[in-house]
Amino acid sequence: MTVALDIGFVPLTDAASLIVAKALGYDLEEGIELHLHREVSWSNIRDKVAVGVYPAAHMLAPMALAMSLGQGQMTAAVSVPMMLSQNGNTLTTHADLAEQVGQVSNLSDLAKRLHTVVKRPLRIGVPFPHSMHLLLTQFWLDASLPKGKARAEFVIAPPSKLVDVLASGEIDAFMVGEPYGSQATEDGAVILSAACEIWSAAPEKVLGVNRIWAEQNSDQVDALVRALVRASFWCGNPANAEALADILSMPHYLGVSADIVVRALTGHLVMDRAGSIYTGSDIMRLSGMDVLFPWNSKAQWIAEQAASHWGISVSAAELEATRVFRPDILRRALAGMPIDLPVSDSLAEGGNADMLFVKGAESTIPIGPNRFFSAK
Amino acid sequence: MDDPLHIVIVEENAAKARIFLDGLSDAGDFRTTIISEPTGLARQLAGLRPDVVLIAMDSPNRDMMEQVTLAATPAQRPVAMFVDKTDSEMMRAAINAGVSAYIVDGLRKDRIRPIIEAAIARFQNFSQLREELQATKLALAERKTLDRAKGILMKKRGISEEDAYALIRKAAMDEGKRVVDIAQSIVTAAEFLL
Repeated sequence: MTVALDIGFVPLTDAASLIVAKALGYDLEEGIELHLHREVSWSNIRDKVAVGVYPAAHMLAPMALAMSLGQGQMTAAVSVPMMLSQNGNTLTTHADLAEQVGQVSNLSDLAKRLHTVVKRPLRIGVPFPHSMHLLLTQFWLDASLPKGKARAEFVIAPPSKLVDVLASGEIDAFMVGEPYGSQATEDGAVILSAACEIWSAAPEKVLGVNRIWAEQNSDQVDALVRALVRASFWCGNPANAEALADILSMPHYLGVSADIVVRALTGHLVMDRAGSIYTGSDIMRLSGMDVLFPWNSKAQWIAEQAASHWGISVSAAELEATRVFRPDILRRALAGMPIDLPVSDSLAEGGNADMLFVKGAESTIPIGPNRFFSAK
Repeated sequence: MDDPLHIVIVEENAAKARIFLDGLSDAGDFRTTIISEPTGLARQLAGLRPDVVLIAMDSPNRDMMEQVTLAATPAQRPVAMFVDKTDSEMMRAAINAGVSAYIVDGLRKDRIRPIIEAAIARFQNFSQLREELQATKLALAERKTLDRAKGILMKKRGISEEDAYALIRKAAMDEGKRVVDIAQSIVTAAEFLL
């Protein structure tokens, strides 16, 4: 019998595998029927997963940890059996500030120039407090600016308001997921950098499942994971990029025009109205076992970076991170599928500019470039 | 006698703000302020010092509230979502109705409860109205399709409207489909063929 699952998502390009699992029928093939619900805020996603309105949702990686730790307004244990994406954010500002900053040679330089031009702590907009947007921005500024000074204030604002909030002067720049950086350039904003420049293998969205539900419905969790893994293979095939953009652009999914959505998918961002192009295959990663696997090492990075924000000890955050990120569920769900999984649950993070291979149960597994901008 | 509570409604849509206000007038006497321009929400709220903040769940401004709840310093009054996190029934009811409420710490539960209950009740009515409206719209659209299909048959076959309808209905019964689905196939086919 087919079981219906209510799943929440925020209209972003990295909800691709959820949307494709539904649109191309991978859900039905796995014996579940996804009912996707578009949400306007991350707060809604969190609250509805917490009270069980949605057993699972498209979720910010740090949110899964935060709500499990009782940070923020709603506490509920969440499990992450798989990741949905890496990277995908852009740092976007208004044309005036971009012009004052001018040409910079690297990210450290960009931070220093912004700081010099603005002459006070930077005000950076991010979509939610418990987000990679905030952690990556903080990580970048901490490593780039002199110690001891207040470097940034974060302002929470919805991506749909990006251009308005920039125009109001409330913020200097915005770290935002695609397609909203690209869309803002259509209205005259300028993309300063793709966040993959800060870390080329940053965890971004996860499949967050209500832990109590997941423990009582392991068959459904496994079916959901399989449907999403299969959908992600389709999403990751470059030949499908245009079709994927068409599906995502539909009004009940993103409602953003396909020629804007496709930019992150094909690795060609239009940075400004003059049409400067940034190319790179790491702008957004949606597929591949190195992307989907809920690496403990990435969970630990989040825990370590977030702990001070949350006023808790790093060890407490790290301990909970191992409970939230659940490679064991992914292994269980994919047993019997011809998919090789890594032997270790952790990677050395941030030090590899090139592709490398790690040991898999059957063979070797390719791992994409995984480098911090600050790495020597 | 307690001072009337100050309730701030964050809502850009005037009609929706009205629903909140109507709900509140059912629940007692309050001082109310509407924020219809949410830019700089945290700063605006700090100036207003509300006891309760109400926001519809379908408003993207909810995430900004999250910052307000996290940012409270000891000098400010801490804000929490809902009255009582242990009251999961009410939390669920509010979420299902599409209402979120943020309350400053230290307010008595019995003062808050009627506010949230009234907001929930009003929003339930509102979503019901919206669903009814959608159903009416859908019915209208189906009516139009049926009329077009009948028109096509009348013209092509030179039959009366009644006969055209009878034909469509028979096809629907034979194929186990809805009348409107048959009508839609006639309209679609006609677009290709005519």
